[in-house]
Order: sequence, then structure tokens, then C-alpha cells
Amino acid sequence: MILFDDRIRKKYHPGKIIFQGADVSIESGLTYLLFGDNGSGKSTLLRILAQDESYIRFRFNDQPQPNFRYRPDQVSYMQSDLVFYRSMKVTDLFRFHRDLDRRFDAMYADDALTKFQIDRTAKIVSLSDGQRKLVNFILCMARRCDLYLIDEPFPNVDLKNIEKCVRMIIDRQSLETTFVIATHQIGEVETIADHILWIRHQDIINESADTLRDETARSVESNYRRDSPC
Amino acid sequence: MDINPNISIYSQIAEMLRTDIISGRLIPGTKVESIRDLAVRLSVNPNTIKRVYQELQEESLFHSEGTGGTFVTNDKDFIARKRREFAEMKANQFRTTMQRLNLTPEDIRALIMGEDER
Repeated sequence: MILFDDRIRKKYHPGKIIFQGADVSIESGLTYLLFGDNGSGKSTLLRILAQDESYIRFRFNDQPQPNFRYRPDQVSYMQSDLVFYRSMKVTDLFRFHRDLDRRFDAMYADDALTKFQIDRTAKIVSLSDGQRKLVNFILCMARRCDLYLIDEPFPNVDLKNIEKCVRMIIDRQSLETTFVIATHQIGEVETIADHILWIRHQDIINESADTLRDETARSVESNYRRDSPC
Repeated sequence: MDINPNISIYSQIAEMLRTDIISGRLIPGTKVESIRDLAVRLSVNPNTIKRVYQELQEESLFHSEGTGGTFVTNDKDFIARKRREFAEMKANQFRTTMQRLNLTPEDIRALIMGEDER
């Protein structure tokens, strides 16, 4: 089933064009690895998919049909920064989500906190950057949804914890669950992705990760490394 | 086994399982690891494993018993035949390469048997 299919155009101000008619198609049950240079539009694309950001349709003979085959509340969207009040402890933030979000699986979240050995009584401001990322990741995964949009989950996270996060994603991957994961750490995630979404020159390359490997005899990461800068 | 990210993950896992079956490492008639367990162990996408299992079923190396799981075929003759085919294919590839190097059948034989020719 197609969740989203459109040709998008997006600019922030006249000089700053992000997408110039890029084809984006998201199919349910697949995991997409979203990558590209800094400022290429990864977060913008995630915000568009989360229905938090508008864009211009770029298709001729457009039918006025809805492009999103899901409601915004069916999405679990991890923004790159954790949102919290300065006075909150870890447990306060988790209680906040449990009370306000009926999709929030408190048991799952609690198990994950134990797994990552995060102190529930610690103030969030006192956590390290890596731990804050993990808290953010747990909050995103604990929401029972069909579509997960994850923005830069792993900077500052140690290798062992990245492995645990990847394992949590594999445990959740199914024919009903879709992931779009934006990251610069391509090598850490490429083996769990079905497709790549490579933002390049205001366009998006959307193809099977294995097809790219077959065609180039190289990993996704080394394809990206060898690509000449724009 | 470690996954090599430079080669199609799907073909790598299919090749690995095929070799395991024809070499007897996966015992005929036994149940194979669940899709999710193998996915976690290799750190790959369960969708990929699922497609591999489907392909091996089409090749009759695996058979599925619905929710009961997936099993290695019990047909030992079939496995023996597959092993023979696989070995012949590899031998042909090897022979072609050696002939391109202009080696005589004796040289090739010595190479295979590990006899030093110098």
C-alpha cells in the first residue's frame, strides 16, 4: 500500500530552494534510509511527511486527491531535539506522555529505560547528549504507530547502544510498519533498510538498497562517500 | 557470519543458506531459525530474510508448514543433486580461469591436490 506519493517543491525563501519537483513515494511495510549532505532537506522532508510542513505540489494535471493516506496521529515522529520542561525528571516526561498519548506504551518505555540504564530520577537537563537522544528515541518507539519518522537518532550515542536501538527497530519491522530514518551514520543502519532516499541536487533518489549495491558493488555508505559534492 | 555491506544482502543470505543446506550444516528435515531471530542475529531487515525464505521455498530447499515454521527439505537425494550441481558449477568456473592462465591439466590437478610444482 502506498502511504504517500507526490512530486514536491519546497523553498524557504527565494534563494533557498530545497526540492525542485522531487518524487517521493513511501510504501507501507518498508524501511527507508534517508540521507544527504547537511542542509539538503532531510528534516524538511520528515516534517512534510509528518504533515507539519506545507509544500507545493509539482505535478501536471493534478487531481485534488489527498496525498497522505494516513492521519497525522498515526505517525510517531522523533524530532532531532528532545522537547521537555527544564524542571522535569525522566520519569516526569514519561508520565506526561503516558497521560496525554493513548498510543504510548508505558511498559515498553519502562523496559527500554532499564535496557539503556537511564536513571529515571535524574533531571533531564543533567543527562548527557547521548542519553537525551536515547530518551527521545525511546519516546518515539514507545508510541504504537504505523509510520515512524526518525530524525538523526544516533549522534553522540555509543556503539553498543546504537546496536540496541537497531535491534529495537528490527523487533518492530513488519509488513504493517514503515520507518523513515534520517541519519549521517549510514553504515550503522544500512543493513536494516529496504530502500534509500538520497537527497541530492534538490532531487531524491529512491531505490532499493540492494539494487544500488548490485549496480555499484559498493555499500550505500561508500556510494555516498564517493559522490562528488554539488 | 558477518554481512558485507558491499554486496546485495539478499543474495548473500540466500547463498549462505544454500551452502549450509547442501553441505549438511543445516540438517535435512529440521526446523530453521525464525525470520525474526535470523534478522536480529545478522542485524538485517526481516523483510529481506522473508524474501530469501520464499526463494528457497520456490527452489524446494525449504518448505513451510504455515505457522509451524519453515523446515529444511527432507529429500536427501535432492540435496545431493544440488550439491553436485553446485560443485560442478564451481569446478567449471575454476577450470575456465585456469585454462585462461594456460595451465595444463596436470598443473591444475597438482594445484587442486596441493602438490608443490616448483
